[in-house]
Amino acid sequence: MNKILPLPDIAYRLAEQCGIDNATALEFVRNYFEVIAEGLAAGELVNAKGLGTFQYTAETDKVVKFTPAEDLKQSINAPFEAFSPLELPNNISEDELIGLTASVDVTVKNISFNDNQSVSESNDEEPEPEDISSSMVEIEKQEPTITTRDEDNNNYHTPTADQTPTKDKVDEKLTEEPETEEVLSANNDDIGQHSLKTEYNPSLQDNPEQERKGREEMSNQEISHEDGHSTDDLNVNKQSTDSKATIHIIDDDNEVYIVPSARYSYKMINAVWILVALLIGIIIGGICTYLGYDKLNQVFNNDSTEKYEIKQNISQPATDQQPTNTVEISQSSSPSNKNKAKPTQVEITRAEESKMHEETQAQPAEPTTPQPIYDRITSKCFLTTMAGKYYGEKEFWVYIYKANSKKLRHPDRIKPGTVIWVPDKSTLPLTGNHQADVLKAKRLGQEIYAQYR
Amino acid sequence: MDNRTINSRLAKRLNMNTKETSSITEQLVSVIKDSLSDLDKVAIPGFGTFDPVKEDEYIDIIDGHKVLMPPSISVKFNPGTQLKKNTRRI
Repeated sequence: MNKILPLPDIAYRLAEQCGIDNATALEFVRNYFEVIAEGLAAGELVNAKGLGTFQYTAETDKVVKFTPAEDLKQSINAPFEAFSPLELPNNISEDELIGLTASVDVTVKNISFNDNQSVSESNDEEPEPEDISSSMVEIEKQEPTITTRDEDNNNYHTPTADQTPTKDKVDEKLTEEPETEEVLSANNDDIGQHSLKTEYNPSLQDNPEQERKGREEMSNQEISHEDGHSTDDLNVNKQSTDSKATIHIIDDDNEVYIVPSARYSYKMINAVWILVALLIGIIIGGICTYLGYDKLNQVFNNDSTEKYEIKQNISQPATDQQPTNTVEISQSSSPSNKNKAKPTQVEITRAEESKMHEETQAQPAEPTTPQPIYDRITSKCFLTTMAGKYYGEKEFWVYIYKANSKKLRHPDRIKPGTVIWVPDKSTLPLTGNHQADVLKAKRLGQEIYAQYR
Repeated sequence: MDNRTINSRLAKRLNMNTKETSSITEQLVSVIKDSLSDLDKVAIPGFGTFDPVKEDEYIDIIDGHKVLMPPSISVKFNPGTQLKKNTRRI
């Protein structure tokens, strides 16, 4: 329905019906319409039997006017033959008209015909309306079928004429909780069979208000099932009337679809994504703090190296001089304790002296060789800083660089934290002339920089 | 141009008998009828398109009485550009 049938499909169907091959059928169809076109081009009126007449017309833009043949009209409108014009009572109201075709919007000028409906072929009765009641009865007769669908089998069950619900049964249905869903037959295959199935209108003889009340009751009963629905049920089209199912209420005025469980799934997904983002942030923060802590340690450890140097300097003169460290324990001691304090002072000095002696004895017997000095490159301590500290002249950094040239590259691009060995000043090739030594050191520096150009 | 002329010209073109062409023409027309009754359009390239249009049921006032008119299907033909060009040369 509403498809466009192209030429190959026409040829295929023709070949099937005639028992010829597709190529022949295709050629036949083309030639058939070419012959008609030739006739039109010659200015003739072409009468194709069974199809209609084609005529040239200068009135409209279409140029060719087509009048379908009577055979064609009758065969196409055969499904509507049983639907003869029906005279309506003059005092019929619009509400009753609406009740006549309940699922269809009725206007005075036009009634929309539901696409799901088709004409019944079996209805041979064509009653003549004599009065209102008889016409109503006839309309009722012309709408015999209700299709219902079983939940289990999902089969469409069309009751026979004997099973058409009577008025009493219809009332029961309205009051009881519906177990199955009443559906208009949407079977498009029926179009070929020409069977008309419209919605049952039990209230033709009753008041339309009762019908509306009945429908409201139905809808209210169905709504009451919503309370026990579960969030796991995501199937909107589930037609069971279980308390936990999603509800699909068919009302004539409004169709209500309730999908509560779908909302929760979106919230869960959002929560999961937020958790994932938090975890990633925590991991990145941990990595950054670890890296930063390491650098902080390097900065703070510069103080420890300075302390190490001081200790080294102190240890050297210890060999030359005897320690004269005396410790004054308490100057504010009482006069009675003075006598007592004195011997402790002496003892302490002696203890310290003994310690110092032990230290000097523990040292290796190399008084002449100087101990190596190690320093570390930091943001505040460069080669020039070390040269100024240890040699008294910043330009002598070249000698420190040369002593560590194996692990150093560009002198301005030394990694902070690099441990540098500072050779002793006595080992430097100095002449004694400060200016000459400085000039020499500058030349060496230029040579070093020249290597990296 | 009537149906006989169409069949005879077809028979000449396709080297067939007029009986065969008439029978096949009838089958062709029935195929087109079936598809039009299914509300499917029939498109012939270079010729045009047969378009079935459904007219809904409506209430008409005849002689002061309200009459419920049944629905119906009418067939409209939209000629193709090639056909229009050839026909306009007249």
